[in-house]
Amino acid sequence: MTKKDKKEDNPNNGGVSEQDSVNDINSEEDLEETSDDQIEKSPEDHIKDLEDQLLRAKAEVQNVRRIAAQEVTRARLYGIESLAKEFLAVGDNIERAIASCEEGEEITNIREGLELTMKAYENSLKSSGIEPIECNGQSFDPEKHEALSMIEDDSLEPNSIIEVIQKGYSILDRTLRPSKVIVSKQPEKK
Amino acid sequence: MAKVIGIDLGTTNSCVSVMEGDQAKVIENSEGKRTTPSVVAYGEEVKVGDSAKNQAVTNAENTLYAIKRLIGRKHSDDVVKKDSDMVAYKIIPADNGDAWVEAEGKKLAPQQVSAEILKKMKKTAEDYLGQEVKEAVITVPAYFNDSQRQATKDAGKIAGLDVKRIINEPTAAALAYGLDKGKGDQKIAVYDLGGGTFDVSIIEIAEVDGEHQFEVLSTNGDTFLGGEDFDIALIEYLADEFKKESGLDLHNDSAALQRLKEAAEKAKIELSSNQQSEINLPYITADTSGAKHFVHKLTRAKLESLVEDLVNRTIEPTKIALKDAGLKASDVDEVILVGGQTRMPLVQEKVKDFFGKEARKDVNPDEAVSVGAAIQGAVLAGDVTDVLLLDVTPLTLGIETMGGVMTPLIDKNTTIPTNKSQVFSTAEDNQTAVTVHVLQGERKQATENKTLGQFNLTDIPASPRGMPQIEVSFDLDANGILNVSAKDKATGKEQSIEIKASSGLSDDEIEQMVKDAEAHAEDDKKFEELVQARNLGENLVHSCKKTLEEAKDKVEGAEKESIEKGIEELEEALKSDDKDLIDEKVKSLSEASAPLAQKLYEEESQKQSSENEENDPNGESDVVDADFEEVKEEKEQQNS
Repeated sequence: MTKKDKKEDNPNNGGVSEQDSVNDINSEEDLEETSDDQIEKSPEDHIKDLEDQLLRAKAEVQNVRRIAAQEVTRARLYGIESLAKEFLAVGDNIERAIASCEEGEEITNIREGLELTMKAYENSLKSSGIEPIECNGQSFDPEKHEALSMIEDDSLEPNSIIEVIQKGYSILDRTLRPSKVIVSKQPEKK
Repeated sequence: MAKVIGIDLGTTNSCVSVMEGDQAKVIENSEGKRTTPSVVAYGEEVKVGDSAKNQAVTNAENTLYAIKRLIGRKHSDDVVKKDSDMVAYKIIPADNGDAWVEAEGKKLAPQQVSAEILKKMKKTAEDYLGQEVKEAVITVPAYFNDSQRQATKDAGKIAGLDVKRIINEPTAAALAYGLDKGKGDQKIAVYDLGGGTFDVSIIEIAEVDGEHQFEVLSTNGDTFLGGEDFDIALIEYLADEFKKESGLDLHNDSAALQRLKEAAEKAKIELSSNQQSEINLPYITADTSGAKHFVHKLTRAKLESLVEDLVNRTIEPTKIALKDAGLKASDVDEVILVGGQTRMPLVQEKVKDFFGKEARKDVNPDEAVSVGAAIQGAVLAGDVTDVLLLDVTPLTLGIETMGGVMTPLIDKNTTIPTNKSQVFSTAEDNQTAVTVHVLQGERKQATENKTLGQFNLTDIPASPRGMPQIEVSFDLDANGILNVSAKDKATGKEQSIEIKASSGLSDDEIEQMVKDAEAHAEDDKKFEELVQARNLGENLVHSCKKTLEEAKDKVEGAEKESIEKGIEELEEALKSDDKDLIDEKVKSLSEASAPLAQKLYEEESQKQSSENEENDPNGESDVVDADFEEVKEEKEQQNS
């Protein structure tokens, strides 16, 4: 890239670019930007000004209080998200361990143990509002599911979930981690 | 008060922030994320962000991303041609030759698509602020021409936003770093290594008549170099290592590849703060012999060797940008880093080696541009000037109270102007004057702090200690002038003193005092405990003496003696600095005087009930109901 035309940015003045023919709202901008008023104000105007500023400042305080309270509530409810995401990976691995268990007495014992562990784990998550996302027989919903690929399948409605590659979880009213799924599509017309 | 929001409309991700007072706040969207993917999907309904990304595979032709590469360009543009080959959606010429896109059979201008993203950013801000948002500042790359800038502004308009200003991304970053507050002219290099692109800009900030003007001297970069390339390099290495160990190729297993990708990105990030990290992927895949696990230790050195070439690729464009600006590396006053990938130590090192100075990285590199836009927004809304007037008091202000303790009235870091009052009382019986000793500092012991001033309030009517109500008020105005007054609420008599700001401490002194306070926190705590014990002891001595006096005919010899002995021993203990001794003597005196106190209380309550029964119409009873005045506020005692 070669040297371009100099572009001026001035936080207090100036427009989009030097050749500003496209900018037809110049006059509006100028009015809003005058913060350094050199004109002498009468005491009455000055008082009006101050009253206005005072009201605004008070209103701002109210706003800040309200937002602060909101944020605290939100932080309390959703603050565990990043930690929860880490733990989801642990849960994934426990499920994989279960899936890889083959037949055999010893293995059955271990498998049962893992299944119970998984149950306890999901109960703990539930107590904080974290639950697995239901996928069985569901149609694909991008708010909750992430499509990894599409496979032709005419036995199902198009956009149905065929397989879940990774379980998803929701926290309260949000998606914590979308389910990674394979989605069905109509076979190509030959 | 209408807020002007700042929006970083990025190629891959967008971010919105707003100024709250003097702090910029990055706003989380409805999914709880601080950035939103710049992806728009058309279908039954329009989806923006994560949900659009999630369905990309099912709807590739109508899922539009990286629209920033098309906005304001002609269809015949080289960049547009290159893009056409890379994206799954259709890029078509409009009637006037502009590059447009097609989705769901409809022809759309890039402005319309970007407007959907801007709409989501607008809503995100509105949900947070609880009020309508109509104005915004949007950032664009420094190399954008007029057509691209105007198109971006139009996108804002379509989204229902009045775009007060379009500013350059490097300029916004400079604002976020506060570089517009400096003196004189400055030359700044902005090194922006994001997810998909690398941009380097040299800007000049000139001070003209007290105002700061920003000028872009040159720009350069590599539009196909970013953090994702670093990830790919690492993924390939790890896939190779696994193949060596197991003979299996993870490229054939899309689920496994996904996990590897996530693990690689995570490890890359960890290695920016640790010297080593471990890839830990149980059950990554399986073959006929069973499940396979992948565990691999990764050192920072190894990662650096894998990506060094990529980092070196940023040097050439940087050299050219400097040359085009007519400058040498040593002419650059400040180097600032933008974009997540600049968190990597190797990147920071190379930048340092090139410019011969450490880069500024104290602002979150993912959010700097959005923050800068918010700052500009606040300036345009006229908010910023008010904020600059607000200062904080750097050290705690208070007075000396009984026992030589510093009692705070205005805590340090309180925004001024402010005022605070508290009611105090006398420490001794018949104390007719109080000394208000005004102190500044963080230590619990009054003598360890700085004296700002002192005055007396006299002519307090003689009364038992703790009864008078002296209201002490501290008023600190915007100029840092402190007015301290003490008023006897009973008589209305008042005394005050004015302390000018200059009689306080210098910045260095202040810093030292705060440090000292932290170092002495343990000592101060012990001191406070001692004073509390002492005060408690003195109160007990006083009340016991009083009780003995009042009930002298009701108390027997042995009991009287034990109480008197207790008082004597406690008075001795109070002369020392031994807290444990004081506590012990307080306990024994309390125990010794308890029976007497109990007796008196029972008598008093009996007397009360018999009075109520009497109801003598002749008014023979001599008993006068005492007026009880309850001073509800906590009282500290004052020395005279």
